[in-house]
Amino acid sequence: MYPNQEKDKFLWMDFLEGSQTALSSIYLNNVTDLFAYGCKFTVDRSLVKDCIQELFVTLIQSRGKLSATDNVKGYLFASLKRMIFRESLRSSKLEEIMKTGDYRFETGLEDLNREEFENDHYSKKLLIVRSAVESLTSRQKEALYLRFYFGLSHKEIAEVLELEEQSSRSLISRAVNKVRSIIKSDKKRVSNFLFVLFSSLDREK
Amino acid sequence: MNQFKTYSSTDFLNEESFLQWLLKTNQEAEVFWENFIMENPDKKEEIDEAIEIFNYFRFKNEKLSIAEIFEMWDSVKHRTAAPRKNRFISLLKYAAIFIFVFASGGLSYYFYSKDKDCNEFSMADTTPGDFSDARIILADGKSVPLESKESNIKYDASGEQVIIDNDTIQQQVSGKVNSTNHVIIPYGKSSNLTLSDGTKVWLNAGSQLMYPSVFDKKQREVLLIGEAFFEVVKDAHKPFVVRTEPADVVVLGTTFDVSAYPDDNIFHTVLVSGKVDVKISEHGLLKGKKTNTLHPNEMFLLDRSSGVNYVNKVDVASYVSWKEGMLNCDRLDMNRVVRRLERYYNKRIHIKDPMLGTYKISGKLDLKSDIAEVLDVLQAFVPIDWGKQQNGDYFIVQPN
Repeated sequence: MYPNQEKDKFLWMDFLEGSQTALSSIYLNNVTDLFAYGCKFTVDRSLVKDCIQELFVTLIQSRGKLSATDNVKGYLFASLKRMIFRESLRSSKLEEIMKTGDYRFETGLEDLNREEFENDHYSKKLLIVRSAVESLTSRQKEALYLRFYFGLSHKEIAEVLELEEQSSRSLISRAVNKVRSIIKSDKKRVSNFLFVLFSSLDREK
Repeated sequence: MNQFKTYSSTDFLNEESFLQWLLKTNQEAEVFWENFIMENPDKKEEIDEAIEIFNYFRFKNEKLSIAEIFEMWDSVKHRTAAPRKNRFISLLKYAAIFIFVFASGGLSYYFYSKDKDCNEFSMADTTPGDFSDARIILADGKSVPLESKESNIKYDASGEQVIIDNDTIQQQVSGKVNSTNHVIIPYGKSSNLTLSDGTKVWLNAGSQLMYPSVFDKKQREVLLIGEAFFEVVKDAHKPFVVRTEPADVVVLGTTFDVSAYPDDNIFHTVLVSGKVDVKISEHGLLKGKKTNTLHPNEMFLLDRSSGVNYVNKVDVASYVSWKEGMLNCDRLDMNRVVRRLERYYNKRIHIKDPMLGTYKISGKLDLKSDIAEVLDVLQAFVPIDWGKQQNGDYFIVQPN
């Protein structure tokens, strides 16, 4: 459950039933997230803005054809993603790309701040984890972003990625395991280092 | 709870409620996992590892400015209103003769229908019994719940340090100015903010305010849905602009109140001291902005459905007393008094007889007492009866 999920669900119902203000609430609750998400696929800021507008125009125009959903944010995410690809790629390739995950996804991890650099051991580890994250597939990065930033459930992520729930779960597990193994091996390395250090100190005595 | 005994850090991160605890989006999950850790010290290592992994993922996001958020919605509204206009124009072509005769009537119909289109999808509303909790979403995306009834939020001049009800939070302010903070206050609560330029804002129940951590070089811009009282620090080089759906309020340094609830047909701004300009955005053929200048003790009022607007002298205290927990009414319709009570107490009050809603009420209501007492006071002023329904809503009827 992500923030505002319940609220959006009821607003969505109101919108389908013809409420005049429900969609603007949905817009306001989600526009920041939609923009953040959209910018992971392209550096073209104005393209993302256009697609968000296009998305809401389409919603208003096709109101009669829409159905109820528990996952408003997920639905909006999936629609925006399609719109961005449709605008930036040849349409014939769209379905193929959605399936194979052959697209750009920039995770955009936060810059390291000074304090963390001073803590040398941590920042070194962070760099290793980062390069590992960057080497993940676009789909894995996208799934991790949806999960760890927006708090989407496996089921909701599956809807956005157009996958089975089980596949989305294993996608994330694999990515997390990769990061985990780096942390683990690093721990071992540190403790080995300490062991050597102590044993040499012992010898000096 | 046994199922968790064999969990690895990866398994924990796959658990929905565990994630909700890490993201602080569910209080039940918080209680559960904090208990779980106390009762299962043997799982501490795996849980710490899960938290460590989670903490590596701190995402940086592109942000929209407040102006962009508004402009995008404006354009959505206009684009969805367009087809009707075309139909009318094509109709005009076929009925050229009639235009001559009904020119004025036709045009006013056009304006009217245009206006309606624009109102159809207007900026966000919140209704009593709202689900959202009071919270602040900081520029870096962190969402912090506001637990007290009257929360206090204070930014330092750099915008990097935020004090929320005595808790200090550091946030990174990226070089870009368009990093927006968002405060959401549901009905039944209020909030007190100090922005990075020192400007004070009292945010009334059922309102939202968006603002940057640090203001732009050219102007200080915030977005308001609902009602707020502003005490703006003077800066002659950087005007302070309150953007709302129906109008922009532009000031240099003054104290004033702005009320722009989406479910309230009336937009108003009341000036206590200084000078403000109110610019209404007009859509359709009359695109462009109309400016009204207010002097102290004046109110600008706009009826959003008809577009009628005017400036008149008012008793300022009656419009700004809400921030002291008082409701001063000066010949205010009972309808509007009741709407204010609904927002303040987060309860529904049904006026059973429409005629009752038009009673003019003058006087002071102390909102620190509970809703029953306030309704009793109201009953002493005006000939009404009130009661409580089974579903917790209140109703007002004509006395027998």
